[in-house]
Amino acid sequence: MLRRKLLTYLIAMVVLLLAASSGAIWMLQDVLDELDHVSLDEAAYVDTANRMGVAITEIEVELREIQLGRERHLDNLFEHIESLQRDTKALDTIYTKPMFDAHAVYPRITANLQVFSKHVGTLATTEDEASVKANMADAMTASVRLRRDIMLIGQLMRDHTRAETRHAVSKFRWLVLGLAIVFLLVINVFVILMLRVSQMVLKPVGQLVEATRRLGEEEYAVRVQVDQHDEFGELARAYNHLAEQLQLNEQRRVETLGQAAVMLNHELNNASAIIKLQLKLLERQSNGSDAMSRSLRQIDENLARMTATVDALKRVRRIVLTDYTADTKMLDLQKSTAE
Amino acid sequence: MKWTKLLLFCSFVGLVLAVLAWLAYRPTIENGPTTASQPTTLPTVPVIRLGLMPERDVFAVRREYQELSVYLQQRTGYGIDLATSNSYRNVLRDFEESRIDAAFLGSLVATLAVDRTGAQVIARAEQTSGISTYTGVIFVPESSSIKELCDLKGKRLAGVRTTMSAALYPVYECKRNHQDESKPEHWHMVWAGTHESVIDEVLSGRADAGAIKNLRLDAFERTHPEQKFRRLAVSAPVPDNALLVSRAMNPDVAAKLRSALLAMHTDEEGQRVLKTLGLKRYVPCSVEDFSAIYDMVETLGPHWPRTAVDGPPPHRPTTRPASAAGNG
Repeated sequence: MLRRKLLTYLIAMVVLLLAASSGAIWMLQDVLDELDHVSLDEAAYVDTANRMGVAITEIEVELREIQLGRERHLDNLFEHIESLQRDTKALDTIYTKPMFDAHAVYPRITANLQVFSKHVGTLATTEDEASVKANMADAMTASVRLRRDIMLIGQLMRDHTRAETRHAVSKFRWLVLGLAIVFLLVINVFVILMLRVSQMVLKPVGQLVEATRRLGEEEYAVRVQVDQHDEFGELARAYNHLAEQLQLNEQRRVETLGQAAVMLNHELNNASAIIKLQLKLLERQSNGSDAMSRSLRQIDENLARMTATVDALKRVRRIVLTDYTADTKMLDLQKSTAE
Repeated sequence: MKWTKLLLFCSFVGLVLAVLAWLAYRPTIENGPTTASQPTTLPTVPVIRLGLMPERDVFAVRREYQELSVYLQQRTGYGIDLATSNSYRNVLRDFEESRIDAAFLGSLVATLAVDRTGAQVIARAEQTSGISTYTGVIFVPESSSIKELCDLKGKRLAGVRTTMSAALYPVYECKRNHQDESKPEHWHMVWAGTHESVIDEVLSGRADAGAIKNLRLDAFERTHPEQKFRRLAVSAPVPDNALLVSRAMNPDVAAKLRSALLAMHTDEEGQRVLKTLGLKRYVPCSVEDFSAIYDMVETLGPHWPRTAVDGPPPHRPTTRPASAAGNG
């Protein structure tokens, strides 16, 4: 029973501790995920924006090379345009959380990229000067708009991640504070439970120790009061039973001693009465002899002492022994008759 | 005691698992994709450089032919590298300089490649409508005051260099109609880069008329029903974009390439790629199919330089039958 109680308390403590730990880990993980997302996504975003800027420049250089006749294949141009298109699509998806400020800019970038690509395609293939001029102006305009929007989106991104970082750090601070309080509470509950568990053991043990000590002092009437339905309760009941048995034994011994004392007292009273009568006769016959009177008085005193001793035996409440010789015990009459 | 030990053990295991779970899911600094990753192995298969011409939106052409190149790589086992030239004449130069092994070419460039480099024609595209030829068409916006070819005098005609429909055919049409024997091209040419650019030039007003292949104009009209055009003249049909392989190409490789291309429509993946290209299938083709080109060139005779095509005209291969070229 006691074991079950201890286990119950122990399980409760472990569950409480595990729950608190798991909750703490889960919440910390949440904050760390947020910080992780901010740093990784921002880096990826900045990389992408930078790459887009580089791709636009490379497209312009490649286009110039084609127009100057130094290059007549469009494959590098395609790669740069495709890279730009991929990165434009990626911009909208890199950041795993919605970035509402930038939502108005994405369609603009996509639209400008389409315009830019169309004019680049025309410029790369046309041989008409007027067409070159017309498309060049449009392509440059689209290029400038693209760069401006990429810069703008980068700025929006930085503002957004800064705000998210601040939010995450603030959340982390509150979380640490909250966890500190929670763990203090958990520790307090732990201590209270430990105290309760220790009381559950120490209190009955103390009672039993005290009762045993008093039993050792032959106080057979002492009983232990343990209101527990466990091993300590059983132990207390066993102890009380033992004490009761010892008390009964003692009582029987005292009663026997008392009966023996009554019998002795009876016999001794008879003998004492005869002796006292004879002492009175002897005193009358002593004719005032001091020595004789003194001897008769001593006999009378010792007779009275014997009578008192035997009488005292009738009042024995418990048997208390004392050393008579080294290996012999005798009844301590004074203590045995004491209240 | 036994139960206590068991409980402590379970608690310990639980805590260890919790720590492991945290470690497993803890945020890690991920390395982004490396942009400068080095290939670990060098390609061991032969690579075919496949030339493309800027017939229309070059980016769309690139996307579509990338699918085709992947398909051909799977079917032939050879690597396929695409090389898109910025003009028709540069595709021809690539062939002449052996910078490409094969190319999908327009009809005029194809005949020039055959004539100047000995390239071989092996297949041509057949549209989903079942048409495997195209015609040159001279067109104006429907709202234009130009009603017939003679109205083009002094006007700007947009075309594409080194193409049948947009360079050869307009000059041929003038010569055929004897409009001005001394100056067949009595209009001013505006050279755009692609057939679609020609349409843009006409719609933007930078050109009064345009000359392109009918397939492109039809496609544009399908996607822009609000735009209407008047066709002033239409040429005789010539094979649509044909695949030519260089004379230097290993015959086995050429045969494998041809087989893969001609069998495309028989497998599911091939059909998917063909659909991407807007084609039904590839059909066999030979230089004889380009007789209309040779007819036009022969009709032009000494006026060939007025097509603005560099170099001499393509010569009809011997024993090639003559046929009527234009019908407009």
